[in-house]
Amino acid sequence: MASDDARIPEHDRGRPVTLFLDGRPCRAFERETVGAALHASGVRVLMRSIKYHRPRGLFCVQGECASCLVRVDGKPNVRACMVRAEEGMRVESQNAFPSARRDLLGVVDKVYRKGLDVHDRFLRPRLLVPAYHFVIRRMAGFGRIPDSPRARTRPIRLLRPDVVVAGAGAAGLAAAAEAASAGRRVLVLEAGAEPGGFLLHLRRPVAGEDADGPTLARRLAESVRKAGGDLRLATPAVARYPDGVLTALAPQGLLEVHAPALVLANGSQDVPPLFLNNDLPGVLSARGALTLLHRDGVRPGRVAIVVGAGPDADLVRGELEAAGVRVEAVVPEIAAAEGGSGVEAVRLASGARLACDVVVAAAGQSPRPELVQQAGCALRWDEAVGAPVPVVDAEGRTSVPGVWACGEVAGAKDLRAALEEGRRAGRSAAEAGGAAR
Amino acid sequence: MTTPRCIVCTCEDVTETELHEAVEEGYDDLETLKRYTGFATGPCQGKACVVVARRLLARWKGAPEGDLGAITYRPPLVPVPLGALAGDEVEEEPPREEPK
Amino acid sequence: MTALKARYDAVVIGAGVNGLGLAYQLAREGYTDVLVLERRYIPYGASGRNGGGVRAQWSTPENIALARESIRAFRGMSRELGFNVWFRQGGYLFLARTPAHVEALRRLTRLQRDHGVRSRVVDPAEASILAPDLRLDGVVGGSYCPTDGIVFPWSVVFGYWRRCRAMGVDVRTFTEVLGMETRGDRVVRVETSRGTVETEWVVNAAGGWSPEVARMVGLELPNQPVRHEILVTEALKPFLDPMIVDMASGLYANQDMRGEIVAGIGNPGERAGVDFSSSLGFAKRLARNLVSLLPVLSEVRVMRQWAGAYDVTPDNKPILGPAGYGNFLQLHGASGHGFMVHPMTTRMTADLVLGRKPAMDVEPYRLERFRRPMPPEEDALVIG
Repeated sequence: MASDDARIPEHDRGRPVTLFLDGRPCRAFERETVGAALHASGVRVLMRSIKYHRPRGLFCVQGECASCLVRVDGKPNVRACMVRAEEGMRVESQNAFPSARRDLLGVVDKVYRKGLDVHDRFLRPRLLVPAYHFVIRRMAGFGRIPDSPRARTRPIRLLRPDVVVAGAGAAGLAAAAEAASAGRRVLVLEAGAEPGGFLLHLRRPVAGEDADGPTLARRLAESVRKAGGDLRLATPAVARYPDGVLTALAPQGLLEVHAPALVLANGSQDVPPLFLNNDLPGVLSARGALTLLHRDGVRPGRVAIVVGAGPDADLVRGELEAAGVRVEAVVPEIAAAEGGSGVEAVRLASGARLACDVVVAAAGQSPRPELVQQAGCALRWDEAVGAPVPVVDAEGRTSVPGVWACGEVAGAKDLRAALEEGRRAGRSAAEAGGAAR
Repeated sequence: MTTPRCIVCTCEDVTETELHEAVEEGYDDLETLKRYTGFATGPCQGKACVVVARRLLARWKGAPEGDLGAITYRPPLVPVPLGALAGDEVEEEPPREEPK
Repeated sequence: MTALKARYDAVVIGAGVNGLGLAYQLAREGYTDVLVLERRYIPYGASGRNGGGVRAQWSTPENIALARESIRAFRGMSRELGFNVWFRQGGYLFLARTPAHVEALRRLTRLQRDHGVRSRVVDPAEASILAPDLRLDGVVGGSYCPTDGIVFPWSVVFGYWRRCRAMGVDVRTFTEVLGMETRGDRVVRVETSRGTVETEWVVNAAGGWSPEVARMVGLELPNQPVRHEILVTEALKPFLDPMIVDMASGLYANQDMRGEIVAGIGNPGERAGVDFSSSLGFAKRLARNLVSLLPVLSEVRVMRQWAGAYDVTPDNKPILGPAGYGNFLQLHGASGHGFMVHPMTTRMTADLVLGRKPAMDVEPYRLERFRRPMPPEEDALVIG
């Protein structure tokens, strides 16, 4: 099923490189992620799951869902969707033999049809218990230890800005631009390869603005940089400790950030769908499909079913069609995805089957709860969003001195709200951030 | 064809059925359910599954979601290589104040 | 949820491995009219936070004996509970970096052997065979005991809980003990957030919160909870068999049944108090030491760090038996090894409730020992 036409022609993907998957050469490009390159080459099964050895592949395409773990150059558990292809890169399947595509242990999924509760199994007969343990221990664990026995430590870089902003989506960039223009030293931490967050997926003129999402993102990022802000890409915030220290993981190593003001703008994530075989390769989250399209320039498939409703589903349908993917249907829910090692069809509640090779689940978003909780912010249940969000005042201040929250992470309902909250929080953090020094 | 399963926790292969059975057995608060079934204990540490599990739990218990709490999110939010924590600390120069 | 009864034969405060383990031991003997009270969820306290280590390499005869007998119980536990606890006897390998530590290990292994434990001194060459990926620069010797091992902690707790429920023990979560009433030499009533109950026996199995419970009857305990942090890496295929302990730093690391590396290291500056928060300092200190000892782990990722509290007594040995009142039994204070010795401490406590001669003498563990003019010998092999 390899097809070069999965790659969108106009996309800037850099020079061609060759990587090796389980020893076989595979065409890639230097600005593509390994996951995208493999997907474009028709390789969708990247690994097997831990217990049932079910085929897995790209889903979130953000480095969060751990469904695309491969071994790269002798290092285990690398997220294929986040690492860029390099000339001669050795990519290997994990937890599968002989390969992820044809794993002998896939039989586990077929044998334990009613489920496998390891709590009270493998206790009898007694004589076999040591053998059970031997096998189970070897089936547990994901990658093997790294090939290289040499220690590789990287320096921890200490940074001391006035204001640190977690997330360079609309709200985060707006906050950073305000704080930087007010004269503060601002550090912005962004997990993605480009600033903009969800703006990067809004390719039509954005309501209330005179430009599309990517243009808006570019402008905002420019204003941050022009005002002296330090924008770090591919650098997700990783922890906020009780003493106020924030850490982030940059490509070169850990950053340890000491700043009197922290603005949380790390947005929301897609809610995974619930239907039978929701884990089949070819089932992507909305953000996942959009990232594959826009960041990597790769079509997720030829024929898509979008599961969801409302503006999210419409957006996804529009972007898929604009990229040349045929959207067979947009349905509010499905009973099951079907296929052997990848999606081949969906089955609706009515029993009808629709053939497809990709399912995009637009099941809604949820604010990212982790940093807000780690910072100790008081929370309230937001019924509309269906999740806890931090309690904030009009300036975006949370219950914790020195911590602001804005945008989708704080429950913002639309882009305008996100931008406005971002600006207010940025201004407020700038005032406080200076005073604390 | 894969056996039809509705997976809630992809990292640890915990299905909706397995979660439901555990709740029926009495492991019906998020933290206990997590330790009993293993959901949210894998590499993604709950990013992909806690929201879904909480919604299911609310439905099965007939309780408002807001009353069910959350699991504790611990550092690190993205897995960090030990080597990145083991290095010496180095002060980074602040970025230039003047725009280039 | 049904209301509490007006009366139970025994009330156990704390549903960790001690509380539930005790209830299981009692119920197994037909003594099922037991109420186990847990303020939070199961397992909230140390039983839900520890690294699963089970060793008999201790430095006092009491701790060695407790652990040795407990290991026997761990071997048969999965079968007995009908629940997998995944006990794997891969051994504990202690590493010494000074001649003084080697000498100490020589002395300690001799003491352990005198008490029926098959530990022995090893040289760096043998350590390398036992754990091939170790970087042994600076290591001058060590000790090894093949019968030491690792268990999966929450499985033990769930195994007990399930059996207790099946046998009719009343286990209540999110139920707090608010106070207790005494009459003469006995505790007669326990007041909870779900009602007040009368009882024959009250067992304080509240781990780090035991002093708080004891204070409800005016009893002061010398226990101090001290935070210990711990972390876990992503799961890998098995490559490390024994638990490794580096005596110089107090670092411990093992590979659990799921393939994850579980590791901890002490913080000498840690203050007393129940504190379950995580610190960056711990993560850095642990990473430095762990990568130095197992360089192959430098590209292996930390998945989660958390913390629990060691329930520490002045001599690092548990407090058992009645204290303050004839029917107020203590079941705590095991100073970071409560999980691994619980089969014995719960059995001894059950014996007291059932009026039997305890499986091991309780006297050395009673609270009174701290009032004697000659302070009891302190166990020096606390790690993590």
